[in-house]
Amino acid sequence: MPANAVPAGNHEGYPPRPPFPWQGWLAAVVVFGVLWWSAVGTGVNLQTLAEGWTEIVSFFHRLLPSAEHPWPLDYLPQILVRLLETIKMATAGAIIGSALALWFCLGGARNLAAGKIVYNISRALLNLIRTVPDLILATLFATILGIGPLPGVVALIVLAFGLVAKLLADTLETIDPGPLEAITAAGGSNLERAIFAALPQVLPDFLAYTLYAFEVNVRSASVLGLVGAGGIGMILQRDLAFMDYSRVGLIIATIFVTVLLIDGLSTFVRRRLV
Amino acid sequence: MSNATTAVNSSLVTFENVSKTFPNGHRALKNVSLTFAPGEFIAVVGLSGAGKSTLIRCVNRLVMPTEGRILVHGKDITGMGEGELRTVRARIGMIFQNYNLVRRSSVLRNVLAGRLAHLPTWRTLTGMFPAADMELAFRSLERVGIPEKAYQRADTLSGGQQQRVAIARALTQQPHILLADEPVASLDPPTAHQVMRDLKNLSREENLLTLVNLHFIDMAQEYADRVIGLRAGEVVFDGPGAGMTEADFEAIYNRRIRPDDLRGALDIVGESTGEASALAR
Repeated sequence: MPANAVPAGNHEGYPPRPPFPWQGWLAAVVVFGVLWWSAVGTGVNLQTLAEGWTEIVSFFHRLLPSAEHPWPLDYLPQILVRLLETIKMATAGAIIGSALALWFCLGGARNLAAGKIVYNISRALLNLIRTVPDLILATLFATILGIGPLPGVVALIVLAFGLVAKLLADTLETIDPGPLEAITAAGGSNLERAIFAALPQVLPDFLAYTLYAFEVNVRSASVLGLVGAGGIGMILQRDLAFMDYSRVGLIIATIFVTVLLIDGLSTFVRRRLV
Repeated sequence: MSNATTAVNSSLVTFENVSKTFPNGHRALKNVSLTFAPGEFIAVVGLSGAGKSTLIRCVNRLVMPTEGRILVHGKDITGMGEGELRTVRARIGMIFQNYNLVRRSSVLRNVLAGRLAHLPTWRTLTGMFPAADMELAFRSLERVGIPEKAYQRADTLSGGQQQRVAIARALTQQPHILLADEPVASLDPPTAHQVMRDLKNLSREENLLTLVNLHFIDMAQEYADRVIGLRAGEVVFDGPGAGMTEADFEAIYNRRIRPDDLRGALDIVGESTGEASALAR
């Protein structure tokens, strides 16, 4: 008789049945409780949602081209000018932000930072920067620098910087410590350890993160115009205000295609890098 | 040694009652006193965990002793600041079991790393190495027999070749002292013997004090002028390698000698190895 052929009902020699998984059920109850609480607090109402359904459908219908409201294709050149501005903003932000991050991340990596104090301060700064949402950053800079692409670019620099510095600092902490030790043994300084032994090891990752920052930046740059920080969001916001929904639809479609293309291209290149 | 002056003249490195206790409480070295002279080729043997690695890492202060003094060129390195320490390290070459090359960088750039402590920082960071230093790097590569690999990426080389790049890096420091931490543990027997021969020849030609950690007793017997045996952080043997018997090693290891304590394959060296010893030419 094979060892696993145990007669039904005979549980001898088997591990005892695990206790009732009350933790899982408790978690479920808590989650639904919190959901209920927040729904009541914010006035989410399924009935309103159901009644507004036709409104939602008709709105999307107006965004899409139809016989009486065709997409104004003569508007396309204007959109493309703004789109190009958006991409330029994203590119400048990604490149400048990543270049700054390349230096800053050295302080945020435990194995390279010159002392615990530098490390802790760098990490705290990195975490702080990443807590501020892109739109708030853009609003802030638009207030300081005025309306236009400049505050947008500055916001995107900060965004890319926070993203790349954090990712790169984490990657640096996982590198092979051997070459670092070799440079130390040869009398190299902290900075020489970074330049000769650490950064060459993470160069492909750095390029991948820069591309990723560019990707994220294109998406952010598209909406930064809503707060007056330049790019395609500027005209999107204006046309929304004038309720010119065919134009809005065309803009959104353009953004959609662009983001899709750039994401695809960037992902393809990143795969080849690492 | 009768007084401090004679110690300075006759020895290059002196350990005075050196102990090392790691933060976790492990005592890696216990009251070690040793003197090393220029040109000596020394094998440090012992079981893993006996303190071999800690001992040689104390010489360039990759490990900071918790007690005692270490004199290099007559100067106590245990009290040195970062800048002074770097000038001492500048003349101490080191090679490692895993070569510790920057795999994505070119062979030449790896070798040039040996010049870091000899040059001003603005030159090393911008990569503007003076012609004389480039020349030195190429000559080092010639000495280990792979000048044609200079512009290849380090990770395109075989293990034996990578260890030669590491030796070239150390040579480029124009060192007085060479430290080798298990330099042949990752290599096959013929390549291992070749690397040991290369190290031995370099030590002779350059009058280099060479400290090599080994756990293969036959290699220690064959190559070392002097063998230092460590057991649980204490020096339990210090004498010439040539006359050592298995009983000596069994005393160091505190157990019987096993087949894996021997590298072996001495007989096939010179016939089956494709790469002739570069330094023998």
